Amino acid sequence: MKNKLNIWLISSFLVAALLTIWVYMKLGERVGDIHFDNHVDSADFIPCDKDRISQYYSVNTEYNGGKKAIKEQLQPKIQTNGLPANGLMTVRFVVNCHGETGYFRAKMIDPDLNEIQIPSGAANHLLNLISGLKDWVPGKVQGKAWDSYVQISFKMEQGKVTDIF
Amino acid sequence: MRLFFKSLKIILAVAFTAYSLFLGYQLLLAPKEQRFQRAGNIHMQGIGLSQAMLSVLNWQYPEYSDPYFERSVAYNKRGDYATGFHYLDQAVELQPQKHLGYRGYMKLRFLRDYKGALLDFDRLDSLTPDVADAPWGEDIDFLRGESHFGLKNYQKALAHFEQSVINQGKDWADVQTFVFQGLCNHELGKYEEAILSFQRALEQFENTCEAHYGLARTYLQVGDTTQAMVHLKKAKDNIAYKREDPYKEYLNEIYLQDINALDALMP
Repeated sequence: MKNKLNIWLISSFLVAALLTIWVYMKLGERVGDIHFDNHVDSADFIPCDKDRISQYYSVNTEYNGGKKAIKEQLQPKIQTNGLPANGLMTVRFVVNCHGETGYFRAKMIDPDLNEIQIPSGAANHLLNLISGLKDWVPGKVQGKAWDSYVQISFKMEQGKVTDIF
Repeated sequence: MRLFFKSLKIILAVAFTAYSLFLGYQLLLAPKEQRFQRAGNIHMQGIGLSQAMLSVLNWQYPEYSDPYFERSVAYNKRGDYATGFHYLDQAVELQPQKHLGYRGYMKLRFLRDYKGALLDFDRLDSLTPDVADAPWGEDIDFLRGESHFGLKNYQKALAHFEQSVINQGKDWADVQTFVFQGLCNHELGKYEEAILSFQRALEQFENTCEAHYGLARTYLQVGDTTQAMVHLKKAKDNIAYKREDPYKEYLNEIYLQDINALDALMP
């Protein structure tokens, strides 16, 4: 009887603990989170609070002059060498509370909305161009500047970038 | 003392067991609509626990389309369109009438995939022939007009914007319907019609800066610089009312730089 009680206590404790840890871990995961990768990310860029990076649409992160200014700065310099000819490439990155950018990641879909692997290094030119955008206005939460994820999409048609939004 | 420890062990074991059963019930056994509401709560959107709860619902109820739809939302908002549309396509396959409109809306506004958006809107319309659908709260013909505008099919766009005014009634139509009509007419070189369309927008809401900007462009085009300057000033004064969206840039979105650039062309 005593053994049974001990087994019940230990097993119920373990199950409760495992469930709590699982829920806690799941509450900390967020779709689209980007983590520092020393193979691709500059150590010079540091989010102000890496555990509380919001989405641009939640904290109103902006670029001075809006998407039009981004388009005007990027379009004349864009080269598409090595990139798939058709589809939509989306570059996602972090704008920290100082308006600095880092953690650039690119994903691309084909016209049928299936993921396309971007050839290694082919997106670097675009990522470098985006890192040259220096007029970000960080998002704010209750008046305090906040880190956020931002994204820019490039529509590719017949090897050319036909739209940036 | 022994009795005390034994009682304490029983209390703890009961508490741990009840806690685990409660969590298990909430994650696996509660009514599916209740779990969907919890997982789909806006504050849970994109959080791993929400995605896990939705994936459990997909596993337990593979014919229940809403969890597929809800799983797609965070991925699409965060630029992972391959994953987002993978889930959204499954929702559409299960309940096309319920999810086609949203998928079309997402293709139009998030991907600028105008042809794909039109396919979804047209299919939705064919499924509901007696209803003027409103994908994600916007009139279907307004969205079809916007899709044709994106494809530069201005004549077809005009036909849908006209239909949208009929669907909603002149006084209830989205003011941007008239702005788009003006833009289409301007692109087609029908400047008088363009002026009338922009004026209809201003009749509905006099601070519509896109309409003032459109009028300034059109008046400048036809050589009426006096009216062009009047409306350019009004466009600038009302830029705070510009059409914008927290997620994506609108196709007809204007900026202060546009107004200043037009100002520089004034004689």
